[in-house]
Amino acid sequence: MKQPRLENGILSLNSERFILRTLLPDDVSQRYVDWLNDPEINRYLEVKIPQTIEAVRSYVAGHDRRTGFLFGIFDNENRHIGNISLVIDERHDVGTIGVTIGERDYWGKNVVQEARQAVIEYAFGELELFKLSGGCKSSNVPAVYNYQRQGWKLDGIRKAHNVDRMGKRVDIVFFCKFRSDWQAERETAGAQHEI
Amino acid sequence: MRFDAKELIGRAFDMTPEGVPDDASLENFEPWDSLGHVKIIMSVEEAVGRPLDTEEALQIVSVDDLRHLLATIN
Repeated sequence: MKQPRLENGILSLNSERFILRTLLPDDVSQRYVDWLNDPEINRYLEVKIPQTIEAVRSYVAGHDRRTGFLFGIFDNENRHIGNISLVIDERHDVGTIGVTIGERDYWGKNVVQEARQAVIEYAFGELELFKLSGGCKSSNVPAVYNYQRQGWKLDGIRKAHNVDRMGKRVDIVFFCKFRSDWQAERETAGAQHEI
Repeated sequence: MRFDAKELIGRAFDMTPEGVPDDASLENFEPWDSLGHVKIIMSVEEAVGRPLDTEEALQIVSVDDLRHLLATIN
């Protein structure tokens, strides 16, 4: 794995509509904490509630920006609308991505795929990781859709591994993307562009 | 009871089966976004009369794949 290149301790990535910038504890606003305490938003997250601003700042500080990145997703008005994380196991050159969109007006607007693509490009193109993974509860159908639509492969299913809010056991579905998949996608996209 | 893949996808989007292209998939059929995907799964579950298990739901990515799934369920 190559080492990340930070500017003043910050890593920024650009997508078409958003800037992804690694968060610092001072970036944690009450609005961000409110997302985590919102039952509709935390429905599929693994967070203990209630969250406090101190606890979230401590969580943010726990990302070292070398093997653990927590990016805030900011729109073109610099509004913090969600987060995306990349946690790397450098011994094996693999990473895990997680996404939360906190601002409801951005739900259903392809933010997850766009932000995740920026992190995929960075993880494979810059850090040269071998494999990326991500997962969600099987009941989180939109998240499953996003992985499938973005060309992730099924990596495995952990049966009845979580309990949902209704007390029902649900599967956890894991998806993955290999660097070789990403390279093939780029070649295909390049060939289509030439045509 | 037999179910038709295009009929179930059409039901999800309030359109006739003829309105669903033969090669429709989540990659190329505009109504088939994340919300549309939820509607398709609900449409299939309603038709078969039970919740789909995870492996079944993961198969639903195109008309063809839904057709194969329905052949195993019907």
